[in-house]
Amino acid sequence: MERMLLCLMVILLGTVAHSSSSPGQDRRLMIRMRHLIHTVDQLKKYVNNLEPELLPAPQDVKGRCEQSALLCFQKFAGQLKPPNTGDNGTRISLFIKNLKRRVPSTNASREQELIPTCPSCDSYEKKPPKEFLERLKSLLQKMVHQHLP
Amino acid sequence: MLKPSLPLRSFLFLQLLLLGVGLNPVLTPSGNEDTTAGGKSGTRGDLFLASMNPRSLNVTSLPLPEIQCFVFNVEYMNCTWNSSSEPRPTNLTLHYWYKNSDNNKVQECGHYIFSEEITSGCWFQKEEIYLYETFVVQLQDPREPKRQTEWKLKLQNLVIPWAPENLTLQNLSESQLELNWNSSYLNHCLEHLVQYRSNRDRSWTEQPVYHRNSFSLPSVDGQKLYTFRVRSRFNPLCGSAQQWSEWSHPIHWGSNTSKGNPSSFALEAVLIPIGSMGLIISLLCVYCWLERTMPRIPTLKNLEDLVTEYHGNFSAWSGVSKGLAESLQPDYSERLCLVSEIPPKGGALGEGPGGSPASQHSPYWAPPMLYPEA
Repeated sequence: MERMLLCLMVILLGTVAHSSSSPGQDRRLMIRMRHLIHTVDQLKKYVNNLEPELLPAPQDVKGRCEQSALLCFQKFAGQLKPPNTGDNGTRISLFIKNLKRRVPSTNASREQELIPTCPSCDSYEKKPPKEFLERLKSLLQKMVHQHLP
Repeated sequence: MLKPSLPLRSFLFLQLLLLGVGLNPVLTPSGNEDTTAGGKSGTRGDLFLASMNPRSLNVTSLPLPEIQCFVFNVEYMNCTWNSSSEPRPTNLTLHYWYKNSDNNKVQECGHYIFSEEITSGCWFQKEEIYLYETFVVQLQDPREPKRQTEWKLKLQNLVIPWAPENLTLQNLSESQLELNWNSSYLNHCLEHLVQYRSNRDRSWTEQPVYHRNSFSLPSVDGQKLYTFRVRSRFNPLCGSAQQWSEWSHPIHWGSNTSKGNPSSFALEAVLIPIGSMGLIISLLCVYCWLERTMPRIPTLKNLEDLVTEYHGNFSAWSGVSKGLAESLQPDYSERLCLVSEIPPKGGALGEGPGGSPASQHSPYWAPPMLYPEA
């Protein structure tokens, strides 16, 4: 019985330590966001070579729905593709793959996942790839500004 | 039914014409919906021209001046336009709203900026600024309400931070210097540009610094006077602003030793090395010449070598070159000239080989010819 209590205590402490906003967690998020913004800037150079023509692009997202909007961006980023393969096609595919990678979550983002009132991804206005990337960058900048110390 | 008279008919036709024109507003096609600050801030977004009213065609065809907005360190914002571009002084009005549903109420500027008693801008306080919501600003001519223009702006791309402050320098080691400064805004939102030069440099050296407030210079010369300055930009993590802040107050380090005039530099850097090289080369030439013309004086230690090694060959032992030795050999030949005495006539005929001693000692006596014995 004592052993079971001890194990539960250890698990609980480990969970609390992991979920607390440590400087390491913020640093990882900062690195990831910086990498994402850089990827968007690189991908903007190839907008003329991207398909499809129109994608839902969230903008002016309401407060506390940024995480949901980012997930929508990542979902639709998977639909971006170059029209033909080649050197540029490989590079573009790598950028798109990087966009879809998961972003480290913070306490604020975990709280946002519980909000059911955020708009669905398909409800956002559809825009060309160039505008899609501009809005994604704008959302990432907003998240960096608001959620990091 | 009475038939309408001709003037009345004309009047009714004219009214119908004017009504038809008034109900057919002319709209120009809108540009990009969203604008960024890339290159030029306050770039025009959607543009709506007034309807074409024939009565005020001259006024409504004139475009309104372009508006420029800057957010200063996210503390206040100024949106300004060129009021002198209007043909006649006009107090243009500014209205704004945000596209987000929470702040989409249309509001008029609460604090106009004036230039020669005419509105030329609007000042926004911090509470009226939402960086990450699309900001729509409308300029309107109050005398012609249909003469209006709208711009859609992204304020996060229009932020100009204050210049960095409190620049300090410290020595990390004997030759390494570290520059630190204070930023006016969140550190991770800013990128910085450090410029430095010494009193002997003609131009600045630049170094970008990202998301930190320090810069290290690994190697400095204590004999020079260095100057450092820094400026910041709201880019790229929190916005995409293109405008840099003002430069910080410069900070100096080092000693202001005299620069030296160009002639002393020429003397130190050119003449002395060339002169030294020339002296060394001339000394070498003199040494080689002496070595050839003046053989070394043999020491007594080597005297036994004359007997053992060189077998009495003095010239080889002394080191005189073969050419020099041969040149000293006589290269001429001289015939032996026999001088004989002509005997006097009085008594010198009967003498034999022995001869009298007196005749043997005469100055004209020829020495006897000696032949080897067979």
